[in-house]
Amino acid sequence: MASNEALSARNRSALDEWYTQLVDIEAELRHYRPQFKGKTVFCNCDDPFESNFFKFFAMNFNQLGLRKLSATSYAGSPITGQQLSLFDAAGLQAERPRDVFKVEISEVPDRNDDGAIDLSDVEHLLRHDANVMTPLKGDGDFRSREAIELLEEADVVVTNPPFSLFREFIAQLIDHGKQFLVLGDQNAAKYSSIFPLFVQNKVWFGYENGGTKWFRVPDEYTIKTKERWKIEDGVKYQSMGRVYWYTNLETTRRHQNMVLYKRYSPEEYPTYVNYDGIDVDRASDIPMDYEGHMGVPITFLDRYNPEQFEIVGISTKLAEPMAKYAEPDQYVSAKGNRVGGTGKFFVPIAKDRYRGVYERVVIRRIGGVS
Amino acid sequence: MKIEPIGVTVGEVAAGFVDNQEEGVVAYDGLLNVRPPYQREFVYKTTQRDLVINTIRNGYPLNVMYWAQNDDGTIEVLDGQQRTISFCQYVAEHFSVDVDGNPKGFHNLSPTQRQQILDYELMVYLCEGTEEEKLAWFEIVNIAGETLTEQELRNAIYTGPWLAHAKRIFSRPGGPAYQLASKYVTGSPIRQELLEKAIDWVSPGQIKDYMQVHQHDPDAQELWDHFQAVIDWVMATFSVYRGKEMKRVDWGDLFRRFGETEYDPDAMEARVSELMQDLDVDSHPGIYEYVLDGDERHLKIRKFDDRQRREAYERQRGLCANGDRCKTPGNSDGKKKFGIEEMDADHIVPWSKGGRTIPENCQMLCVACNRSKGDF
Repeated sequence: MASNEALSARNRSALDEWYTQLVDIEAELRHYRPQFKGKTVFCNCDDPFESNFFKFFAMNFNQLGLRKLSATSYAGSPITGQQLSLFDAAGLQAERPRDVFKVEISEVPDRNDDGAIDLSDVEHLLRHDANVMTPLKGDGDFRSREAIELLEEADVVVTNPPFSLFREFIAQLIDHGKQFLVLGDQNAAKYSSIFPLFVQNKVWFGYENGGTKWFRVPDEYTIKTKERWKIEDGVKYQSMGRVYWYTNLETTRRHQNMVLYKRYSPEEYPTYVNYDGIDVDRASDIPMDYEGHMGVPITFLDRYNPEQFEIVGISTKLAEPMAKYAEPDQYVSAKGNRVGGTGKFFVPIAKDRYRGVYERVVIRRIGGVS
Repeated sequence: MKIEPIGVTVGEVAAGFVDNQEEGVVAYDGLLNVRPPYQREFVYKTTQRDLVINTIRNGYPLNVMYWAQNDDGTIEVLDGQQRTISFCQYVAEHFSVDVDGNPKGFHNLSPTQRQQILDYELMVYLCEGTEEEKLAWFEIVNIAGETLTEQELRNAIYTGPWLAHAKRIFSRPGGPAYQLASKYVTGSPIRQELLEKAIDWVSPGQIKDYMQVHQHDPDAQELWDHFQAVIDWVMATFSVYRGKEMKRVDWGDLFRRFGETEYDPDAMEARVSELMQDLDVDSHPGIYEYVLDGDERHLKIRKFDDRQRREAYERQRGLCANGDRCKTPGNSDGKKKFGIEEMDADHIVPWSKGGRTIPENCQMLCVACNRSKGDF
């Protein structure tokens, strides 16, 4: 087990402070509302006062019928404590105030008696109920013992984990058999520790994965591309394409068939040299009349219905070394540079000339075509 | 037909609201089809959506909405879809709005505030009548609001599983029909133009009737099969792709007339290519029709211009080129002088036999002679 020192040394310079906006959370979470009834939700990797995840579940606590909501903060979050002065929180007064704590809520009563239960009641709770907010001994990292204790108690984890630690984060959730709905880079699906989870239908994508999501970032974050940052009301936002919802909560989306319309022809769908399968350039071009193995781009996973397709594997694992089939100078790049002949599918482009294709998910159709 | 205002509140409409994404949106205890399956997506921005809620919370009026009564007792939203979805979603806790600096979902409001929203009276006109009547009325109403295309209007009337399936295929940007055929046809999936074209092809030309007949079919497989057959046939018959020209051809019509015949694609291509290079052929899209049905009119063969006409007229000194075989009554000796406007310029050797549109091949015929000339 990692020592406290090691955990504290976690590299925060990896620019992992991305605060998800409430609109994005609401847009995704609306699809799962009934699945939260009676559940304990844990928002880790979040500063409860800044995190819209915590805010969302706090303000919807009664409506969703949650059993319990817990959240942890971690050391060194640059915008901690801007909303509610920590000295005011009842649970922190006993000790020297510090910025690492956990919040546990089991009920949100109408404390300010205005007939409505909203965030102001949650705030009231934090200010006056000493049991709600407790300091942590460690630094609040999701791998710390205190965080794991909360995790074990939880049914569903909903958060935006640090992307640089995405592998470990997902692995921990799977190991503990938890349900989750978390954000991650689309590319993470290709990781050797994540991809098998897709194959085994233990992880899939959520609903709202199109378009660009904007995240609140600390002021010191900079990015060169103008289109990717903006400042609204003095708050800095940065956009990130390809941010997907990863989940193992049930979705209707993953039960919808893709409508296939293309017909197979050897010209349009070349057969790989170093694997027994054909190359399909775009997921929507999957031919309706091909029974064998097909290599498709990773974007296929967004439309993957396990009743329609079976995932056989990924090119990085399935490709045979090209050296078995051709001389190295026969599969050089267009510019004539030598390319690696392993972990990649190749298609013939001319006599004794081969071209490598990008990473491919290998699939086989087992269901209908529309 | 009856069109009358009905009293409904936000609370009544929002009851039983279910958003099934592309499978459609229903409300009003399931009676109201807010968005039929695969209709245009909900495109309200967050700010517009929040504005609807603020309008209602302030008790200001939302604009009039139009509903249409279906035969099976269900109701279609013709106008007001996005506003309806906005308040239904709010009541169903899909989002929160900013109230006095705090985000508040519906349940975060006080009981009084909630009741105020639920009791808010909507201005809804319900129309009952035959589908023909409704369509006619919608076409008038349509002028006022956000303009719907003709096919969007038809889609609002002839709803059912057939339409749902058809839209899945034809109405999605980047959907199957678009992917398959966008190289050969024009038309926007989202504005329902591709669907319109597909029905136009299969019916043929009888879009409304076709939709009426198939409205209650379980799926639109026939339509999709036909559409695919047309495109497959085009690809098999004309192997070389020419986007600009091909997109202007009415392939559905050609398929109906010649789809049964198998052509040698190489021979077809040779003909098409030759005609594309022919300077006297004015209509390039027409080449595809011409090589199939042989009707020269599709090609819009270049006509002699005014200069060439005048030159030939002067050369003939106003006489008909047919001389004593002229068909104009009383001109059996060919001596009659015609005015230039009484004559037509004619290819001496017809275009089909290799004659060009050049001065040496131009002659002026009187109208009677030209009409009787039978080289078409």
